[in-house]
Amino acid sequence: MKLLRLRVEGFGPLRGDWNFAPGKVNLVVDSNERGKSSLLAAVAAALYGLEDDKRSHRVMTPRERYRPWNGGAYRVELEFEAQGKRWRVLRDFERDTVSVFDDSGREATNDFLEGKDEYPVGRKLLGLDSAEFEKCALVRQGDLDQVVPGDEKARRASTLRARLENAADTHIGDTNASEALRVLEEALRRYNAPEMEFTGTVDVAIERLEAKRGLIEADLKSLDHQLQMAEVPLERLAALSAEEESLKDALRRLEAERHAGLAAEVQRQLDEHDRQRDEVARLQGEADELAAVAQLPANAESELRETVARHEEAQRNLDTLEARRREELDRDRAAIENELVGLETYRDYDITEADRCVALAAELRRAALDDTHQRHQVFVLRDALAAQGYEPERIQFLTARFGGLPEESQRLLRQQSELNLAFQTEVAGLEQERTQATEMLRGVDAARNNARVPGWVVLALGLAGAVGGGVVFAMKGALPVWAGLGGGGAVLAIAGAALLGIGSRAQAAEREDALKRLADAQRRLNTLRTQRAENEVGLAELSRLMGYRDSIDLMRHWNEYARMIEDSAPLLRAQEQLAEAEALRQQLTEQARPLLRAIRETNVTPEVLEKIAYDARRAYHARERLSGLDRSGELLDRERRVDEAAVAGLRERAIRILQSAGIAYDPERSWSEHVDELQARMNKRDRQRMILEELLPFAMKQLLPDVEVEHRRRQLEMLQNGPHQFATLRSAVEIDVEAKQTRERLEQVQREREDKRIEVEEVWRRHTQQRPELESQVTRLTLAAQRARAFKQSVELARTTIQKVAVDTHRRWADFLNQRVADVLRTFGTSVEHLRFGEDLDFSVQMDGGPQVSRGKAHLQLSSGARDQLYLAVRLAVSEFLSRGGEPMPLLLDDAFATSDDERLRNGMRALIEGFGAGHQLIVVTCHRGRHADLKRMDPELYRESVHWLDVGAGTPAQA
Amino acid sequence: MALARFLQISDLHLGRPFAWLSQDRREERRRDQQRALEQSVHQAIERGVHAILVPGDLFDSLVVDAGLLTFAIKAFDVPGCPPVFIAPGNHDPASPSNAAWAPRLLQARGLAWGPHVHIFDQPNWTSQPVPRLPGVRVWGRCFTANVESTDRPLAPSAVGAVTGTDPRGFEIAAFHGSREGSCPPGQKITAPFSDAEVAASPFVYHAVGHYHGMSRIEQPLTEGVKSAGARLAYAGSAVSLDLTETGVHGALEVRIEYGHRLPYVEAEPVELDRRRVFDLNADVSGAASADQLDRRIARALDLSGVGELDFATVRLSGRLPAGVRWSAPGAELRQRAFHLRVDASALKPEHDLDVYRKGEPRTTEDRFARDLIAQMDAETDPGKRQLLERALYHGLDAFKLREVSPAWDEVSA
Repeated sequence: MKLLRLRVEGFGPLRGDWNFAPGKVNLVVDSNERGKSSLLAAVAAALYGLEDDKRSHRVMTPRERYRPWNGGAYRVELEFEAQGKRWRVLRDFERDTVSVFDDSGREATNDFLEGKDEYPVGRKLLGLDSAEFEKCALVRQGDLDQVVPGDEKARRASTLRARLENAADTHIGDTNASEALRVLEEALRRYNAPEMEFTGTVDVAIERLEAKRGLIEADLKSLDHQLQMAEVPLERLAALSAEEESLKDALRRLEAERHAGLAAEVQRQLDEHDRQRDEVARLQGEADELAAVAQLPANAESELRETVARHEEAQRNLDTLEARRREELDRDRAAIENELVGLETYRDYDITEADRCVALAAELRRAALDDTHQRHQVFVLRDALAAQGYEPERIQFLTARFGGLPEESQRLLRQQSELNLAFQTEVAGLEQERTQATEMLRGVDAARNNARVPGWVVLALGLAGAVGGGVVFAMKGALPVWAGLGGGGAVLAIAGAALLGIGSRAQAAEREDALKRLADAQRRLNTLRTQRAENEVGLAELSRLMGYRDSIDLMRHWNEYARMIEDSAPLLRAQEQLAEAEALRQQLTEQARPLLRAIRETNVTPEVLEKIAYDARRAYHARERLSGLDRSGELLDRERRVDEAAVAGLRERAIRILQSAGIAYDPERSWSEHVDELQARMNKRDRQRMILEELLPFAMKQLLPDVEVEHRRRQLEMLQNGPHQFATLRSAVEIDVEAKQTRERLEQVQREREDKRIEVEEVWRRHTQQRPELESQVTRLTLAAQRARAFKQSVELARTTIQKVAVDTHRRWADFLNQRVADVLRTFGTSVEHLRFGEDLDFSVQMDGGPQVSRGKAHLQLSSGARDQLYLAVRLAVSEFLSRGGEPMPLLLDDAFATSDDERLRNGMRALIEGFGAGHQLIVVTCHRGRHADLKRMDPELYRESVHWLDVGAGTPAQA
Repeated sequence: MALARFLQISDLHLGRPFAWLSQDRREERRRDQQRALEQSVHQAIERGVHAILVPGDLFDSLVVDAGLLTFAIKAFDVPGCPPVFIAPGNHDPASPSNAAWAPRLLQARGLAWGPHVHIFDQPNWTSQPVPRLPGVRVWGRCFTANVESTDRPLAPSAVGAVTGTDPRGFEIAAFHGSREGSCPPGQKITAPFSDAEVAASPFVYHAVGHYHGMSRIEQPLTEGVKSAGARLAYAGSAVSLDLTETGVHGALEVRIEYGHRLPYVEAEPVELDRRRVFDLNADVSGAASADQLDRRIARALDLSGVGELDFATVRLSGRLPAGVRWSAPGAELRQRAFHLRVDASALKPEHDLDVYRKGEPRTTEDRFARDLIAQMDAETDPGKRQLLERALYHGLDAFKLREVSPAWDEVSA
């Protein structure tokens, strides 16, 4: 790479435009604090950009560091040659933009894109990143020794060493040994053991896996130990089990003893059952013996006693009543006969006649009352008629004339009035109806005529046209003419006929209705007139017969008679009733007269009749009582017979009771003897009943059921067949006490055994459940540890092998550096004779035939000038090695000889100018203007040909 | 002619921890074992066998928790269950401290085997008549400690006690032992016996436990033999206990015809394990991502007919492109089987070693690879050679990928 031109529009204090000579050493001279170091930084910034990450540059980022002091644009532009092309890089740090153009002017910015938005142009073209470029190509003042870090770890991590290896390998681009080793070491450092959920070094992983396995194995041993320890409780468990069995045996023996007691009890129950069974048999036999009296009624004795008592009582009553009744009958008969002597005249009166007398007396009293009332009414009505002006003679006259008329004549007279009234009221209405109907018919006829007249006209025209057409046709006239006349005539005739039809039928319903109304009215008028005429004829005839002048005279009397009849009707009815009452009184008197035969009285009055009725009834009742006494004698006889029958019935009943009890009645024996005998039998019956109803059921109840007996016998058999035989039986209480104690001990043993069993089972359960899992974990961890060890072994073997084969690579770059650094130093004129680079880029130094000393020691022993030259030589050699076969990188040196004396400065510069100018472009910045001016004067030819002088402070930008 | 029928089931290993299974699958597999035992009793009842023979390892260890022991006792305590003859094996020896067999300890735990279950708790041969089979006796012996035994159960001195055979019946043996010359990898030889001892033993049939695969010794009908047909048979484990136990697992129905002729023995497998075990290979060369690799594995599972109930070991082979990292099957793939184990120990990266063998090494990487390849070629020890190979792959990963992970250090479990 050859830098050609740098244009800075703002970069720290720097601002300007500089051209560099590609084939010469470019010596940039300037005073301090004028920006010469910034110039080198601007070159690096143009190639790699400026970092602005505050996380890695907490105090100030490079971009902030080089921000123009006086503000303004913050931009650099660098032109250079590389890989046979000319490139131009523009970076605006203010806007954070970058543009790269090749020699054809094509923008090739994207060719250098790395990552998201980085454009490390130098990395692409030189194969070095920014840090490596600063270590190799950009040698800042005071940073010379930074090329080889003092710390071994830093040295080993240095990518520069990898670059050297890559450069040593012809296969550029592959992973170098250092990186491979780093990857392998990283794999060992970041080993993932999923079994432990651990990521760390493989050694720690193995340790942890082993430790975990150890823990689990300890758990396993613990489990096994617990299992072994469980043998002790197991033995105890067995002992407890044996004790439990013995206690159970004891309980069984006690149970057997209890069973023996139970057997005795069962035997006793069976014996009792047998005894009861015998008792039942005995009772059954006795009951059978008494079965003969079983059918005796329960109340036989009482019934017999009651019957006998009633029989004897009835017999006594019968005798007493007979005597008393005879006495009473004689006394009553004498009294009645005395009363009949006083009523001798009424001997032939019966009770009907007495009732008839009473009825006639009542009728007579009512007829007398009616007569009085009717008479009073007649007088009152007569007074009323007289007050109205009716003379009795006129009344009698009219009644005599018209009262005897036959019914037909009376109806004729009554109808005449009604007909006159109807005629007068209906005729006017019928006449009006007839007039309205006539008006309606006229209207209808007028309407029809209005319609028929045009019809007749049109019809006549049509007929005329048709006749005309026929005439023309007959005369063989022109076709159109006769056809037109004929056709038109026909049409008109039809129209006319239609009009006539319509007119004839107009208002047909109204006309019909009017005709009907007219006919009805006329018919009713005719009927009325006919009836009136017929009545007139009948009346004329009747008046003639009754001697009246005409019918009008007749009707006048009739009407008077009719009014009189109407007004005197109550009086007539009262008179009729009075007559009827008188007739009734006469009739009653005639009927009562035969009833007065017992007395001398002839005047018939209600009082007389009532007295006759009273005495007749007394006589009748006395006769009745007397005959009643006779009948009561019969009745008493009948009663006596009844009582005797009752006495006999009671005796019969007593005999039947005795017979039903199986006792024959012996008349020789008294009833009390019979009763005693029945009582004895009843006692037997009661005994049999008590046996059957009480004694036998009770005894049966005491018996055990057959099933129970069978069960008891089997139970007894089993109990007697038990393994234990006991000579003497203890009491149940004693057995219970001992059984309770044994049971308590058994429960205690069982509890303890259960506890022990649970303890053992728990150990076994835990062992069964946990051991397989623990074994599985041990296996898994063992395999994991084996895998980790295998991995470690194989990775370490790979690493050792890589290290072994990398020695050759190392030798190649180390040999070069050893030789080249020594050569460079010799040209600088230092006393270093020999250098030896180690694998980690560290080196040792041999000075002036002295011993080989380590770099650190040499760093302390050498003067600062010699030390700077040493590191400068190392940088130059490294840069040269890295540039082998590739793009030679430019070397940007910032006062690399500032600490050297004049002689070393002269030698150093000469070495740089002569040794590196050809391959690498050198840009040396210095503030020692005078010293370099002296060198230029001392070696004018060398400086003129190989040095391009740039004086920044002189303000000569872009000078060639 | 009479027919005796037996159901032989062994190596149930009840209570097996199955630590190699994921936590949620272990209990399920243990229930498979229990189901197999229930199923065997059910089959015995259904097939009308005269007895169930259990020649060892009914339980997996001396420690049997109460729940499991109760289950085993109840499994045989069902109506119709034929007599059961158990000869404890090396995993569940009849030691005085074994609470599964010792009556005293059983009683202490409140448990007891049914009256129809006979435990052979003596290390020497003892016999028990088989009900309903006159003259037929089952002989058994047990282990008394959980250690390998060198006692030879079928040695002439051991079987000398087998005398007094009823001419109406025969003798059969139930025991735990190893047939010499047939021991599967991963199993220990204990109580060994030879084929010659089997041929010479006084037993008509030997029901043997210990080996977890079904196998048998067939005896042709020749003069002087005690029986013909299956002379000895291993029923194998009732359910497969690990991923190496492929094939059918269950019990054997043993039918012995006897009477007026030489007993003839047939043994028919009765499958009890509903899960199958597969061991597959899958070449994943060129798989460009973990997902592609999973798909290759899934395809291998499909081709072999692996179902959701099955176990599968998939051994990956081939070379993965540089940078492809795969550590474990994805969730979707894991659900394809009841348990899926993927062995990636044979998987190698796709570094072309031939390139490094040829030509002059120019770079550090070339020289590194050439150096290790030369060492590998010269190495005869497989372990060291594997170490060199891994170192080579890690180094090349460091050079080429700038990333190194323990991808090539899988240890075969």
